[in-house]
Amino acid sequence: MKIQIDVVTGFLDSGKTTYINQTLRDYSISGKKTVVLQFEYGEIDVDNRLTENIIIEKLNKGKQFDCEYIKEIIKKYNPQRIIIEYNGMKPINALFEVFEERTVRKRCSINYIVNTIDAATFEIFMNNMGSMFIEQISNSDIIVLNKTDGISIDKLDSIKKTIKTLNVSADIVNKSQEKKLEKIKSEDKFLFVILSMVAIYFIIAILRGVDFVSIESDLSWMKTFNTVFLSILMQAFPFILIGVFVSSFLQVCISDETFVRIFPRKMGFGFIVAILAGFLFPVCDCAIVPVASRLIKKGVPVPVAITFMLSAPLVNPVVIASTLYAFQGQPYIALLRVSTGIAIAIAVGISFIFFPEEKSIIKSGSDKLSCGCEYCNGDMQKRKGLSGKFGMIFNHAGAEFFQVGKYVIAGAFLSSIFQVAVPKDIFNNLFGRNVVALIVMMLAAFVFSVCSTSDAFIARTFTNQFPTGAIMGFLILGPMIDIKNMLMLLSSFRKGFVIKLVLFIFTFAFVLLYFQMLMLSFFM
Amino acid sequence: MLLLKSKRFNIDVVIKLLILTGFSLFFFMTIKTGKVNQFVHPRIVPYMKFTIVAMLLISLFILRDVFKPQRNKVNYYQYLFFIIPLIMAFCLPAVDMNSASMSYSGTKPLAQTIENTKDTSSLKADNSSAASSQNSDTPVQNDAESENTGLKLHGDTIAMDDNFIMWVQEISDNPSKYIGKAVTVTAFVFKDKTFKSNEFVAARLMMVCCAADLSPAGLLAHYDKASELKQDSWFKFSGKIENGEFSGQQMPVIKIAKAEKVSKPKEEYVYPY
Repeated sequence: MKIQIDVVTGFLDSGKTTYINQTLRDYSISGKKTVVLQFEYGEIDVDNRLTENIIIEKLNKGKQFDCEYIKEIIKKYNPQRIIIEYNGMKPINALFEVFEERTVRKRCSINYIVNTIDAATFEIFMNNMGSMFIEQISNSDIIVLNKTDGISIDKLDSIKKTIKTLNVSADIVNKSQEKKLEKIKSEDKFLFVILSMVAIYFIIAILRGVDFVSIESDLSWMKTFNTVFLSILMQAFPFILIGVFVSSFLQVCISDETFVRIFPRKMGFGFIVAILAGFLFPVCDCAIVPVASRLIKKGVPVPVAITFMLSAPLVNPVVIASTLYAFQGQPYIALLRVSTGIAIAIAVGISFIFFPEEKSIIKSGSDKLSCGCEYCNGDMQKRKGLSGKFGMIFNHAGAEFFQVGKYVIAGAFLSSIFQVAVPKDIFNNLFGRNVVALIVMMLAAFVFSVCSTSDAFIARTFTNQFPTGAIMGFLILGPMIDIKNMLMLLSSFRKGFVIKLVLFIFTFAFVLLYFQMLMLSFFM
Repeated sequence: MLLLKSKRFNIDVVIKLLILTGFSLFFFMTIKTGKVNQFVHPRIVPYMKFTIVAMLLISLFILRDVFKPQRNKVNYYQYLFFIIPLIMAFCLPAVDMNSASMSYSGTKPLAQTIENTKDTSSLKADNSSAASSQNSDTPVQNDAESENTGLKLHGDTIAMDDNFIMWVQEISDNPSKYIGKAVTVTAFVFKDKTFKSNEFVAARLMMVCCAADLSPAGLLAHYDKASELKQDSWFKFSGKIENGEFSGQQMPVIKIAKAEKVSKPKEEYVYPY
């Protein structure tokens, strides 16, 4: 039976010891031998009335918390449980590293990670201790909100909301509430959904076996849908993978500093560099936003960074290649995509020179510059050398694939429904007029949020229903802004700035695309 | 439920591994059985092979973490996006598309379809013509080159099956060259509501990229027994090229002499390039 490790972390005075005392009262009932490791100690002492089963070890200033130390403790006391009162100022990853070490892992397993937060000082800590605070929250199973009595309901809700965005699956506990720790976890809900789907499939299969003819014919549209849907995915997956591999390579092998050094401070020249950078650094629109945020934080002027952010997904060689493949024999589509796209990107960038943002656009307290995958944080930085880097690239590519892939799958799904279920005649009547068609395509691009390396294939499936000018709208607007990008932007930038940016993009895009549409119909 | 609470396995990693290997397996199986042709254009197949290799490599690297306890909190519902298509992929077979499932506008005869893809004047603002036209372009063919298409006649008969799309284009472009020539073609019957009772198109499904863009393509045919022919049924037709008209437009038409029922050919789709 492995030793259960509970970690209680939180800043000074957040209520760690109080929580530990509470837990100890429960533990002592089950009679397990428990060692409490204290990294820091505040005003309240750990209750050691029941000294037989509870041993308190205070980590001395000189002592290093590492694998050796843990093994010593285990040897000395032979506990069944260890509760660690962790220092809030230390990154929790260091703790994880210790417990992931092979020999330690054999003896111990981490049970719950609890984060105690003083609700009254939540905002202050968020603004000043950003990344540390966020790290603790995102890694916890349970978050205990203390000292909530004096706080208004609204404030409390906003705190909970913030915590939820950082950590979707954690249980948030109010000190006053009694919450059972054995709640249904998200993993169990997930499994339940899968099981019910499998059950439904089996039922249908059985019914079909019993020759339920009606079921068969009902399913035929589903089979058609399935074929269409999977065919889009078959085309898109290779390009997504290419995109994430390149992006991972950049992430892992090229430091932020190098990136920023490339961008000159002067405006005019900066624009040109911004666009050329898109050619040289093929980054999918999914990875672009964090890169652009990083640039702005490092001091690249906002208009230049925006031009880079909007043009890079379009001048990306992979995107150009996929456009050429999807629209074989129509190279002008790829050409127009790039040129009009650059024009719009510059236009929006310049408009930010004329309508500059007064306040800082970076959202307060946000330091999430990494892509959010576990390979950007934490100990992976340690792995040096070629093989280590190689491993990191693949790991990061995998993580990015899962992050990005779900949007492509969703987009393909919606597109397939569109193709199969919507009666074809609608298009001849409703979308006959160009402006409407263009707007519809632009909105579709925004909603589908398909990655720019594979949206050409999805756009292609619309060629029967929409005129080319409208499809250009889909191809050009999609990489620049869509729901997915907007969400990513909102995580780094202020809401007001993001709304302004989206409006500018839509406006300039619509104007230039409409103009382009007229030109197309004129000359062709 | 106990399994998911396992501290031995990193559930997140296990799910990812299942998804990656699942898709690799699916891709591999469709390529191996040849079913891939029902989904995508053959040129996509090398990319799919790359995908298989890439996914397996990623799985190998992720495998190292399978015993490491989970660090970050993970929202498992996001994996449904991958698992649902995977289940659909393995459970529902690829279906043969027929005219009911097509994405086309269907009111114009389909020789026109191919005609329009070459002719860029179809990109007019008038959507009704554009709707049916944007299926493909013809990179190889243009009028100057029609002499050098390499399309051969068998004696005095055009065997359209040799290169279906090219023949349809060639005959549509230069009808005068082929009026009076005998022709054979294996195709399915495509009828639209606007057709007269003796009209149908001897059609094949043309794929540009993938199943999502399949469209019927072919020459218009006249056959007095046309009303007896069922939609989507396959025949080997023999007949003669004639001058005809449809919707007020002049176009070459196959006057069918004989219709021999056949089963669907193994290579069902045609590709414009």
